[in-house]
Amino acid sequence: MKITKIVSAAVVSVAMAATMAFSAAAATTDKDVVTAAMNNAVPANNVQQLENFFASHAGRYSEEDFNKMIEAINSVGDTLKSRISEGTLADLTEDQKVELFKGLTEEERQGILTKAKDTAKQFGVNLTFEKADKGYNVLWTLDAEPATSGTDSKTDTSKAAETGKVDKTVSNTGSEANNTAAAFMAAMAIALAGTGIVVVAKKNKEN
Amino acid sequence: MGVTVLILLKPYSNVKPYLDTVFNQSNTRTNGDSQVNFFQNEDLDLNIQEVEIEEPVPSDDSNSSSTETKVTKHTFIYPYYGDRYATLNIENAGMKDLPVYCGTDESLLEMGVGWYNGSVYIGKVGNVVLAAHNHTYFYMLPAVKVGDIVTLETSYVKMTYIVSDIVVFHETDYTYVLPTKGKDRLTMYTCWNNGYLGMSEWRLGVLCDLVSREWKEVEVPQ
Repeated sequence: MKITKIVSAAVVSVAMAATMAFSAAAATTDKDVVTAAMNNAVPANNVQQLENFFASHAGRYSEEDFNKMIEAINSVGDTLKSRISEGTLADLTEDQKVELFKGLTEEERQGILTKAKDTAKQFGVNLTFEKADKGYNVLWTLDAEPATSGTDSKTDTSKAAETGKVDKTVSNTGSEANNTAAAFMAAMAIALAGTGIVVVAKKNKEN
Repeated sequence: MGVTVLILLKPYSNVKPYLDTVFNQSNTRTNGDSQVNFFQNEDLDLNIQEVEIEEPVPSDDSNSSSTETKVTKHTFIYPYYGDRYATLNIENAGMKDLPVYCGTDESLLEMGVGWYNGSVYIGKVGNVVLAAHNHTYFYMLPAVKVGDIVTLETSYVKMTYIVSDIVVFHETDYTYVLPTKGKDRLTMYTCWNNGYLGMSEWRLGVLCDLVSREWKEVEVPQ
């Protein structure tokens, strides 16, 4: 009887430990979103932009949000997988990633941009794309967070809307601007890399 | 008079940057410390956060390849896109108190040096990448030499670097602007036209190794 109790206790302990381990492993964080981006051919600089975004907006998104972002990134990855003959998207070098996206048709790019826009909107991120000379101009704005106490939007508990943009990987630092293709990544959820994505400033206080 | 002589000696395209400077044709919107960030809502609160930094610890054994790290906690003030972010100094090259902005949008490069937001935040471990125009804020970058000391200071940390290499790379070569996981570096670049001003497919890059990281006490406004 005594031995049985010890065994039972041991079995319960193992089961509990396994459950706890499973629970800990199942918690999705921003780091998992970053990993998903890396594994789906997102260029390293764009992964860094995603990391930076999460770091500076810590606590804004829930585990459910992160799971949705990963699902969206993987969805884009599925489009790209058919383009490689061997290995995985995670195995691609930086140059190979750029070439991969260069090979996309305009329709495929539009599909990814639309997906990016729709997914980002779920998280309060508004992506603006403009067809430019050699690609797209991209800007993102983050919706204001409502006041938590029910007071007006200018209380300390609210966050005003924020604007950002995806910098080009290598800027034009000559004396005149030039349309140079660069990889970019949507601020949230979807990463899009490749040529023809040009970022231009938009001043949100011009009007 | 001087400008007239300049025009007679050089093609207009080479002289234009000087003319712009002389006759103040630039689109600069900021005056010293009084910065207006046209990208953001003026009601934005400071983005202050406690951050854990895992820094490599230099080994006493020069032959050792192992990298120990230490984790410390510090207060960061994350900049918003378009914010004045840091100040850059390279004394030996005559580059003093250059304003560094968060982002490399064209409008920001007109006002100062741009911090590329696809590189690590200043103070974090990795590659910090700065860009500026060769006819304005990085005009003296070609004068930087290996061994020069560079300081990059924000409101929460002061980074000191030493120049380790000078490179020239094509604009499509991202080698030097890629993240360097676990290794600190500062990369500064500008257009390189073989010593002449103007647009170019090539970039002059200055690579720097970290000397020290001095954290500051951050005063949180009440």
